[in-house]
Amino acid sequence: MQPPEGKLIRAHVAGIANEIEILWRRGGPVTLDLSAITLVDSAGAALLATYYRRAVREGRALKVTGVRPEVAKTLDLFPVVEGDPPKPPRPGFLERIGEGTAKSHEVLLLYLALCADVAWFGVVGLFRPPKIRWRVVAYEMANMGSRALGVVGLIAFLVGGTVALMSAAQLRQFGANIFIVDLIGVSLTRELGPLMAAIVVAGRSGSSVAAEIATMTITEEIDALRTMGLNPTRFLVLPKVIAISITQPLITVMADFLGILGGFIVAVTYLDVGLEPFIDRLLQSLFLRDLLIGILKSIVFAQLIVTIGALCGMRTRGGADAVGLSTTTSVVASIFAVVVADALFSLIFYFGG
Amino acid sequence: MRRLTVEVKDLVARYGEHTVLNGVSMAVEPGEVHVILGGSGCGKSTLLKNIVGLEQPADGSVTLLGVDQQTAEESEWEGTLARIGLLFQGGALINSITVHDNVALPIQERSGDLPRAIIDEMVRMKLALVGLDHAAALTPPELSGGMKKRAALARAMALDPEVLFCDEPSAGLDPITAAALDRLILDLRDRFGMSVVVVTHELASIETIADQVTMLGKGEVLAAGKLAEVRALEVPEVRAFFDRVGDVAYGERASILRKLTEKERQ
Repeated sequence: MQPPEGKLIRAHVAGIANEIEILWRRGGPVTLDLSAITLVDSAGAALLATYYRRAVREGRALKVTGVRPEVAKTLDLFPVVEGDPPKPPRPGFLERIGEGTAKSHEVLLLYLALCADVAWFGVVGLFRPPKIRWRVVAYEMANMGSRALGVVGLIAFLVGGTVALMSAAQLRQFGANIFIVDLIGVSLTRELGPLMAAIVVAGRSGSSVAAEIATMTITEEIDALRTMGLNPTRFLVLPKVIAISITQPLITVMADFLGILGGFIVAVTYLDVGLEPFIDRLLQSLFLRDLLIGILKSIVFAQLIVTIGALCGMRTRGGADAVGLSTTTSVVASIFAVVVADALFSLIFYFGG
Repeated sequence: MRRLTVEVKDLVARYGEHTVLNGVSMAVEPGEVHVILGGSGCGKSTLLKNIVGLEQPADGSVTLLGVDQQTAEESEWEGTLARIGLLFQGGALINSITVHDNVALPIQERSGDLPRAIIDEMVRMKLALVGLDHAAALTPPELSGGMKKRAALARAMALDPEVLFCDEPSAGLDPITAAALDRLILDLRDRFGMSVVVVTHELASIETIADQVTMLGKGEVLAAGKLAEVRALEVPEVRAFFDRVGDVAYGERASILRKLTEKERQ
């Protein structure tokens, strides 16, 4: 087979390669007559190099004839690298496990150091310079708090309504309609309100913290802060931790209220519970303790979200893809941490009375 | 008449209300190294982006390898882009994949029917051309600045371009690495006979590689021609550039101490 117009170029190489492959599989010596070839490019040179390599590897005879001077000149431009190409190292199974364990240990230590820094700078910053940057705290409160109200409120309202609706059918069977109030009130204030608000904020603000700090890390802004004598934890992370520790309880209280409102609408519509009995029962079943537990949880969850996001951001190495990876890791890790912390709270309050 | 590799006529480029290029014209002959030079902010990179179609001119025309950017069909322009290589200032390598895969990327995208072994062989050849065949398995973050530039050059060369555009190739490199990269670009031009368009303000680099230069200043062409001709011009901005005379405005500003002393005297 001859390539069209005598051109052994990228557009024709795939077809020619198929022809040579058929010839190659027949076995025996192979002769490639290039006398009709007038033009060759790097794809053509690569085709010849590929079969040269195979011939050496398989101990086959390969002869190239009729090479025109202009073609020879072009072929001379492309170096053929001897030997096998370097391969990226692939660690074994046990090596990966060991590496993963060592890395987890390192990450845990870094996380503890970050939390210790936040606590130290938070306390010290109240009394002596460098003081807490309250203006930034206010900005972060607006960013992580006010702007999350809509989405958290809507989700809480819908979840409250859904929980009530799912329970309504069961309660009606036992004539226990009024207990919908206990169910909604306690479950939302102690459990669902803080958890829902934390999950939404982890997706919204936690990812944003991780992406912001990760970008600053890969563009060497964090290094610049360090060389200017500014501690990145104090300068960047602390205002965010303080801001979210103030806003998250407020968001959670709002989520509790709107969730109960969603449940109330279902109770009135499907279970014939009036406004007055609903409020009476709510006041009887709901203790201030429930609300405070929810608020305490929300503060812990919020701090977990921001510190995990910050750690993921600071550990970023590489380029744009690394920022994406850090953001994803921060969201997954912070939601996981929130759920684990919630389970621990449940255990403590259950066994601790 | 020989067809020009690049022909720019009366190009106007704007960012919003701000005019960056105002009636710029230039031409690149086949096989020449053409340097677009000038101080920071004079519109060099904008001109390059307009030539390769990354930005659209507000007015004027750009013809690349005989194809008029404004009138060409999308497929025709796409085909033209396959005949050029572009070396970005920061390399613009994809960090998540190896150097080998970075160079293989344009070949796979443009010639998907090529057998994998041939693509791999092409990549090894291109990496060998820039002296990076030993670093094929590394990822860009594992490379030094000079190696990144060479890997990016190998990627720009992946499809045997007829014209190679380089945006500040020596930016951020030490003088020795920068000189080595200049020599490499010249060597590739000599071997493959392609045209090379280089945007730079590095004098050492310009002196090494330029066949022709187009000098920009305040969005206009200040001078064009052979380097020696342009160097000899007595245009103040040209002189300031080649004689490395900086903006003296900072020096002329009075210090606060001088201001206070003057006030006291009054």
